[in-house]
Amino acid sequence: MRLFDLGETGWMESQLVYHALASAGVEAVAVQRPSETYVCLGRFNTPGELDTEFLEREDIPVFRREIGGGTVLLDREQAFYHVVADVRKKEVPARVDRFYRYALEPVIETFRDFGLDVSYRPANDLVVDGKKASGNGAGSFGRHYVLAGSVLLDFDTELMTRVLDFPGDGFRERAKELMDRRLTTLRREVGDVSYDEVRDRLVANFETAYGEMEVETELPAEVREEVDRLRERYGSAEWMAMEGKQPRLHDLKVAEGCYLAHCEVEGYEVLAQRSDDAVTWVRVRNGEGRMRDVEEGLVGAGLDGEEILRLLPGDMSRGTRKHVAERVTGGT
Amino acid sequence: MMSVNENVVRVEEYEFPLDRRYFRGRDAHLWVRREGDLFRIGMDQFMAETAGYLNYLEVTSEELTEGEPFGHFESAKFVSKLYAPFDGEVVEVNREAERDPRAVNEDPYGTWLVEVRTSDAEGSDLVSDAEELESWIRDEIAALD
Repeated sequence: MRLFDLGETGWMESQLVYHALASAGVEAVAVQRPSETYVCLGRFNTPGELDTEFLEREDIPVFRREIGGGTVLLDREQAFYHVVADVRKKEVPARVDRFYRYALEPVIETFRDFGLDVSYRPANDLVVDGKKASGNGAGSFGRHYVLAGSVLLDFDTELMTRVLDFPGDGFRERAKELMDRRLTTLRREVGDVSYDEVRDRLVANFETAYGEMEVETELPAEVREEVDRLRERYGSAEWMAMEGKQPRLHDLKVAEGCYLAHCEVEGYEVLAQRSDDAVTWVRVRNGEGRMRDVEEGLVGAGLDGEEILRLLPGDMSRGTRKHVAERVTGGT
Repeated sequence: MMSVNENVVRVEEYEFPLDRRYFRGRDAHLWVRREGDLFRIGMDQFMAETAGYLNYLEVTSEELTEGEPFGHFESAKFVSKLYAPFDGEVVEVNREAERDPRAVNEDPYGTWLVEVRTSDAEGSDLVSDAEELESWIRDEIAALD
């Protein structure tokens, strides 16, 4: 296992590094931060879920990574860590949930070094006092597993809600409110912390976990070649335009167990928040304003389409109620 | 504990019907079953259970090249590749499985992913022998811990 402390890298390079390490078959930990703000889509996301006009106006680039997880906003206020490990080695767990623990243990220790009581929430979130403090995505490249994630020093929730193409301002405002409540950052928790302090702790904790390593600040020639080769692939219009899954612009996952859904149909507008098993907050409007009695009935209801159907206004057509119920429950 | 009856190999909680072969190359964990002149490929129960619920699934409608990826799936924010057991031409993709990938978790042997025409379905790493299957799956179970 090698350890690369790459300092500040360009936005695209900050993603290409772990793709290239895996592709070149180099087992490594890499720590870095990007010099620019950009949006990064998961393997199955498409640019269709982004407000591309806004991104163009603000000159914010977009990358689509080969690994999992959702759309994220990345900037220099985040400390990136990447783990590339050969799954054929005995110490590297083949089962995905155990691999996450293996790769994230040094990150958990890093939060603890700053006095935070951090816990692991499956699939791969790290949470402090119930709030997400680190996001991660992973994937396999042949015999190598890759995990890529970041420690949030700060996070611009306002900008995050601007880059996504939400259905209306009500959705955007609620999404921001939820992100402010469900996400946290190192600076919010412990005050002024620099990138260098976090980097130093990450490097030390990865060495404790995986054994002492010489810290390298440059990628070896064979990995640099892969970076250049992959820049062409992942920077191509073809890769970005590749068919992914249909964006569900009306259904946002704010954090594990917290979803926001929206629909407008036949004069009704419904904005609903749900946990994994119940409706937790809802706004229902028709041409005359808020329907508070309907809202009260829906909050606390289980995610059972038939139950939601019964709780919706009787003057809605059955087809409309069915559509709304599907959105509110997230299709369950 | 292995048992073989009703043409199914059982290794602990995992079952492997013997009406098909299993591709173990590149840790693929895929099954291959002949359907007339064609071959259907799906995910075995070991992979369908250990991967967790599939959130996304994408399968190519182009050529298959042995040992090369012909699709991807995502579960638990982890993207894995599906590797082809042999060269072939895709005749049909199971779009229903792509739309509802959890069907693979729920019924791995009843949910095929792709239907292929090939002139050589032997491949280099397909297993059909019960004892060989058991030995492979035991190694796989041991690697999980």
